[in-house]
Amino acid sequence: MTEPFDDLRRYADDLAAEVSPYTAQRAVRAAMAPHQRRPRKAIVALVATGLLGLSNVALAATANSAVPGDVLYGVDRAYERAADLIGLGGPRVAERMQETGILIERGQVGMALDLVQETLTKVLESDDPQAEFDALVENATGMPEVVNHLVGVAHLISTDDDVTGQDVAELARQLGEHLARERSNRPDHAGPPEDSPSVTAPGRTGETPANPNQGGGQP
Amino acid sequence: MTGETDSQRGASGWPPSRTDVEQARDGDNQVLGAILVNGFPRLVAFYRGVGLPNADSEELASEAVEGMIKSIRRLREPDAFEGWFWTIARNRLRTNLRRRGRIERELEYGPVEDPASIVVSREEHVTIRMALEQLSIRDREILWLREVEQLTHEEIATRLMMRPGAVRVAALRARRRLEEFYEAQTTSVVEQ
Repeated sequence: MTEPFDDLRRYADDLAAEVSPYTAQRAVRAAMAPHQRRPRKAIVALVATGLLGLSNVALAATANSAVPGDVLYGVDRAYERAADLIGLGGPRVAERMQETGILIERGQVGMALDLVQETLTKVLESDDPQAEFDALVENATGMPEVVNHLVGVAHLISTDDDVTGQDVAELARQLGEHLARERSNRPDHAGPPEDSPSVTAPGRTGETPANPNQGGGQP
Repeated sequence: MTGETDSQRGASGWPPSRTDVEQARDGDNQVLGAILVNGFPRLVAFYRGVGLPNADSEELASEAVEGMIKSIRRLREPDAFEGWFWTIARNRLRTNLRRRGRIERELEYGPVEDPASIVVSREEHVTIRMALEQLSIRDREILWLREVEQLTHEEIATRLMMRPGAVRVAALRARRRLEEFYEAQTTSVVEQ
């Protein structure tokens, strides 16, 4: 009888011999290849990431000029929120005021009013309301009525700790009324825009808005 | 073993010399490639010997070779090359069996139930092949590493995460089982 372990070794030798040198070389070459290809993969990944980044930047740049009502406005705000989340955001007051100006130019006073109201609310909720407000005033240059009304808000912020959202809404409403009046007084304007609020009590130019809590007055 | 001289090593160049292992470990890809080309058939034989089909065995051997290329730099002691080589080979086998969901059944409950999956390479090995099929995968591994690859009980113990004494006992039992099954196969062939 053949010794089983001799048979086992012969079996092992025959199994190994059935693997051709070509098969072994091909397998080893293929196993070593990924290590040589890695730099190429890294380059492809880098280029893909770069292209993705560029397309994002292009989209963000395009969306940046959008105003409420535009298709890309949601994208613009989404990018802002994303930037805020990773700590790259900054005061948005200037941009909001620019958008407000564009909306006024387009005659979309209702939307401009909503935007100003939203901006003022955020100014009040911010860590440094005074600084935010200063930025708002600075960027409202060219819109004297806006500045005029915002001075009233500044007064509220500096003198009254109990400023509420309703106070801000009221000021925004008054601001909207002034803006609509301003537009209707322009020589090239044929009439009030469709979405503008009704103008009932236009204020005197240079006069500060009434403070709902204090019954109005110069700040 | 790797400490042997070139004349003591087999004609297949296996196991590789200590110098070759050192060069491979230190970044000589040509030497590493030559070692692995020599080792590849042994890996395929091992996988087929424990019961995997030929195609699976070659694929698994390729994966093992890839694992060796990745980890050769971490081989501190060149004399431990064979232990390191078979550890990787065995780990790949474990992973493959686990992937197939067969490890519990095969290891704990007896021999492989699908002998048809084993490619019959040569008719003259039918007796040893049938006898091997009667063993559990663990017994086949121990026998293969001990009787074919000539690893010591201590080296096998490290590979299988067992105590050397336990490996000695397991190897002895596996040998006895193989002898019994082998004899039974031989007897049945003679009777036919």
